[in-house]
Amino acid sequence: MKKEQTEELFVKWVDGRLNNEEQSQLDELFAADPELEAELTGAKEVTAVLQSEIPKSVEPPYPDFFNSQLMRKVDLEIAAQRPAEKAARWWESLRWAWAPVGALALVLAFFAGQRMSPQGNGGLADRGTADSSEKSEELPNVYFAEKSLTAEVIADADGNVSAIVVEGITAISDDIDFARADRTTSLPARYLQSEERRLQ
Amino acid sequence: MKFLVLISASALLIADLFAQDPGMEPIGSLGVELFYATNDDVKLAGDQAQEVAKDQVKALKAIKELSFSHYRRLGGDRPTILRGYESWATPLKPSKEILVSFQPIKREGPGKMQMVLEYWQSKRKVFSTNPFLTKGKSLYLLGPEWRKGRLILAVKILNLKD
Repeated sequence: MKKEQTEELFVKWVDGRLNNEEQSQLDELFAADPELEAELTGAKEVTAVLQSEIPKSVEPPYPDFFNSQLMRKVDLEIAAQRPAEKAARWWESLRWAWAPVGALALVLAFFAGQRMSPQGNGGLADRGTADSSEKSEELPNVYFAEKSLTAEVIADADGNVSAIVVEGITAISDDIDFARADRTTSLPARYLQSEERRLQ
Repeated sequence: MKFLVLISASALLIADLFAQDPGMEPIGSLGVELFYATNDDVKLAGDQAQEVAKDQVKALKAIKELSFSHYRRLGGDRPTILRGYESWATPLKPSKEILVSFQPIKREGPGKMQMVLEYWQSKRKVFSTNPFLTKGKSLYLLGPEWRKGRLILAVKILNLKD
């Protein structure tokens, strides 16, 4: 069997697209080389895990940068493997099949990074009580001026934010009468700039 | 010839003076209301406090964390949303004890927009957040304690240009 045909068999097997005839051809190859079957089984498991973890519709962030970094990684990998290539068995040259797996891994790493954020006292609130489904992607972050504050983001049935409960804010003095203008302290500079701009 | 150049330069200068900054374009309005919520004596809110509409009370009580025995409306403001600049709401006019600053980040389809909201108390920024707001739907912010109760801000897009 030609090298191209066997490579196609491997890819189809990993993707679960083999017909009966192709399956029997592959079984013969596995019988001849049990190590080959173990390696391809590993690749199939990794692919299945990644596909189950990552939504198919998600676009990679900053696609140009993403693609250039991915191609750079692939080039480096190929360059690093060149001296050993001669000694490697022919089916080990099937490294291109790992490119989509690498791409999925990078996307997964990006999402994992997005989901890791300090909780409460770190100055950034959690992203709510909703589960980690697609719905919670639109829940806001809360940033605090003081570390003593905490916040809980509450989502409605549609997954949209409906309330933010902030705890630890300094209580307002009971003596304050909101009906009177308070002239004892200066207003925020940004407020004054905004008013000036509005009145121009 | 000099006269023509002078006229042209003057016309350009006048046109520039009257040119509208696109960031200052009003694209909608934001409703910011402040409620007092308590399980104690609601009269502590003061004489200026108003009854809260039944549907508003229902919406507040539907959220467990905002469920109290009594509610009163302390004030509200309806500032304009500018396309590219920060705006401010003063829900307790004339008092500026509590302020809310806001600025659009991006549109998310008709009637939906992500904004930066900042809560200010005693002229100091306390926290900021970046929610997606939907026209007509309130986002409640449970704030500080006051007179044996809590203050609750309700922020809602009232109008939004398509």
